[in-house]
Amino acid sequence: MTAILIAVFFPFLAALAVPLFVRRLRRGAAWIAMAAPLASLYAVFGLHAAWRAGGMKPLHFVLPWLRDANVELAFRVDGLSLMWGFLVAGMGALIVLYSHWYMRHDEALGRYYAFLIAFMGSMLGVVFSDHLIGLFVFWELTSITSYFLIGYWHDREASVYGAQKAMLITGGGGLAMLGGFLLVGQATGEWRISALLAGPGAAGAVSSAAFVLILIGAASKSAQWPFHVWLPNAMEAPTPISAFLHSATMVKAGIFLLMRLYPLLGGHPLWGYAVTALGMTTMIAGGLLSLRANDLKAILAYGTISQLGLIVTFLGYGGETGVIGATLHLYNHAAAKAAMFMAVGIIDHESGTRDIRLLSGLARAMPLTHILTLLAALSLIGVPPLGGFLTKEMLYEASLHPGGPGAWGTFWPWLTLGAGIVTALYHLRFLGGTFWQQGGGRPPKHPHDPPRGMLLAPALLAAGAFLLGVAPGLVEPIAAPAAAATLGGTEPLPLRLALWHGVNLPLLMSMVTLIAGAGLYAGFAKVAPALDAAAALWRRGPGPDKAYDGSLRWARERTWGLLTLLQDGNLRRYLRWTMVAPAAILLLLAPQLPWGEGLFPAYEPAGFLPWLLCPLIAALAFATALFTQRIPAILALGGAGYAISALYLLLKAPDLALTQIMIESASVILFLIVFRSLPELAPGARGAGRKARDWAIALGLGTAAAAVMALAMNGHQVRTIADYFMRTSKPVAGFKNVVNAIIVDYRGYDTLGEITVLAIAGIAIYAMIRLAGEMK
Amino acid sequence: MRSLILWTVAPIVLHLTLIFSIFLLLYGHNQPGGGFIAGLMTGVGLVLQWVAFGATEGWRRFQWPWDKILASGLALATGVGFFGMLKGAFLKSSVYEFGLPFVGQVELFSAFLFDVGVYMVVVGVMMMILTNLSDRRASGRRRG
Repeated sequence: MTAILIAVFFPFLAALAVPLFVRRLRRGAAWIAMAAPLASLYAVFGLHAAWRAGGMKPLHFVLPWLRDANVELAFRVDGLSLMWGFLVAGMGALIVLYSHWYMRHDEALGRYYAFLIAFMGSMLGVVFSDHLIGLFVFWELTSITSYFLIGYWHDREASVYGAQKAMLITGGGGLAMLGGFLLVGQATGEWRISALLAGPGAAGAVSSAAFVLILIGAASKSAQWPFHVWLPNAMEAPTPISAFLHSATMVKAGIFLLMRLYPLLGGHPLWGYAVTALGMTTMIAGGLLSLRANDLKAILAYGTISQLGLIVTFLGYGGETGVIGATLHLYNHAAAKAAMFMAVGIIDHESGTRDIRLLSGLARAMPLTHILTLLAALSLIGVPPLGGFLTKEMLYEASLHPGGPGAWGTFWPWLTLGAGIVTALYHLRFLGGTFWQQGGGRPPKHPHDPPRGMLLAPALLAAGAFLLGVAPGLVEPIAAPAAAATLGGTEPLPLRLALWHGVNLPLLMSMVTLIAGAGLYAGFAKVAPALDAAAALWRRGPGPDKAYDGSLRWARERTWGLLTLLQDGNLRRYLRWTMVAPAAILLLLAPQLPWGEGLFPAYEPAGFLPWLLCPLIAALAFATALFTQRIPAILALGGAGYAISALYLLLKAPDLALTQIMIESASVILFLIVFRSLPELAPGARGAGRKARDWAIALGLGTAAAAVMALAMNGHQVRTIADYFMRTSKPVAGFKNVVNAIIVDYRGYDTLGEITVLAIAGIAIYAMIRLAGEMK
Repeated sequence: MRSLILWTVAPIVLHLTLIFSIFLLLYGHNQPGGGFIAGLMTGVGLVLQWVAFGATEGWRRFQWPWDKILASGLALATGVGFFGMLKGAFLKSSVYEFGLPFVGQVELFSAFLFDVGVYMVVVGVMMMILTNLSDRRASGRRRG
């Protein structure tokens, strides 16, 4: 239990604490931030040990959360979540390590590390969650934290645009997913994922609507076509963030969802067609788009889209080969893509540009960077003996013998082969343009290899990509149970990993891929104009990017109309609406309300004082309205308030009386402090018509309020509720003071909500006053 | 406001209101009181200083990090809620009894800490609004 709490929640606590230390330790900020991923990683190791000790049976941890709503924070530790836990926390540590060098001259490091760590925590929450609602909450948390990360340079317009785009698309997809979850939960009455997956006929529990909604969620998060458009804009984030988002987190969350729910969704008749088609489209579109990009980060971003499509295609093919291939390719892609992003960051740092047209021949200037980028890229192309070769073989194998339903026969292997060739081509272009070609452009700075420390993280990752190929057995203890858990079992699957399978069809396809890729790259100069023409033609038509911008513009214009109708900046009009609306609603509803015995229930005032106070209150209220100067009006209003608090005291509500006195004192003084900056009251300007309208509004609201009061006094509910609180406040809340017991215990949620609103209002007022001061 | 009486009384009243507000905060669970009222009480005591000494002076004396007090209060209240999760549900209250020298048996409610959070938020919001309103007025006057 402690381990899972540390793994998931320690990052959030650390995110709160880190900014406090960063200011003092500017240079060492990363070492402080490092505590979070290391603690999480350590906790994941602990969970792994406990899970092994328990015979690899899934471990469950449950924290009650909203018990009455049947929502809990449930966590499940099994092969799949452990693998992701290692991936997320381990990559987090490497990213922080790299950031130490990359971000060292940047301002606002506290914010940077805080959101980075919180993001990692959210991601860990996603992968360990075992409750649909908990999963959704962490899922949206990743959207929110990544919004802050992508928009880290918030004075750049492009960053803000990218952040908003990512947030709207992935967050919106998350809402679709929530809809799917609700449908599943309602249909089965079961919210725990483990119970859902284990339930009899799990596959039948998902309706087509729920399936599509969940798929939209996964696709939008994992940048599948046509939701991929947010990902290239997310490149505005600092490079370490891009590396993190692309390698182990955020974009992989959708894939995690597909893997986690595989036993549930995989049986749906649509799975084979929809998921495979989705992945394949994404894979090819991403690859082609990558060929058109010139910014190194953009090239990699489209490459990521393509690779994510590849993993989704694996899952679409399904079966053991498909799932094992997806699992292994996660590793491959995480290691290789993070290494490449870090290398691009280094190139950007050392040469001053990321434009592939300005770079050339970096192989000689930056030999170390070249070697590790080469390892990573060749792995993704699928060159033996690197890790990518293994998974590419598996992909071809899976396309030939899909394990899931709905394979379209001979059609898929050809498409898969084409996608593989495109993959090889865009990676070769990346390598060639940056490192190999001589005499292309001239970068702004004279490039050279960076400090050794900066190379540490990418070198480790490139070594990982290499090791996965030569010694695939190394990942077997983690990957085999993960693949098994994806398929719904607990017994580790034998992975049968080997570089040499003998001469067979997949090997032949691999050879074709490499030869065709190299050939196309050699003749790329001739292909490029054709691609350009195609791209120009393509851009003229409607695309997902245009659809996004268009819908945003449409929404903005529509809401603007509504906004100016309701909020035109005239405070008096706002007040009028605020008063008319409730009065109108109440008066319209009046005939249907349960009036019961009569309008005026029996009421015995305590002594003669109330008979004095009530007319006094009324008189003061009238006076407030009639005064033409502010100070007398304010004082009269305060007087009415004090008289009301005296009434409360007489009716035995000391808490209310005390509160009322405090509020009156504070508001009178606040009024007096600000009244000089207010415009003059201009009663003479008001015509008879306006006066009549104001009277009508006042009378209407007054009548409505009085009616509500009379209704509340009516009937017997009041007494029963009071009795209940009187009886239970001491034993349940431990309080004798019923009012306070209600505030902090029975309705503690409300209070928390209220003080949150209060805090937000306070901050908003602060901002408004500051803004007004600046605008003067 | 140039008033000798107010100048003499206001600081004394401040101390009294502060003591009384702490009393209200502590006694809230059995007698009239609680975080909300106590916060208002403190706020009113502070506001009185504004009235007595004027905005510029009040601002100078009480230029505390009200935004941070506000934020910590909210964090404390939320934290108590999460602590309750360990006990069974979000915001579930628990009671601890322990002896203190010279005081005797003391009951500490987790709800009390929640109340302290409420107190801090209320004081923070009041003072944040007040300091900023009066600050703007003061700076406006200086300019104009």
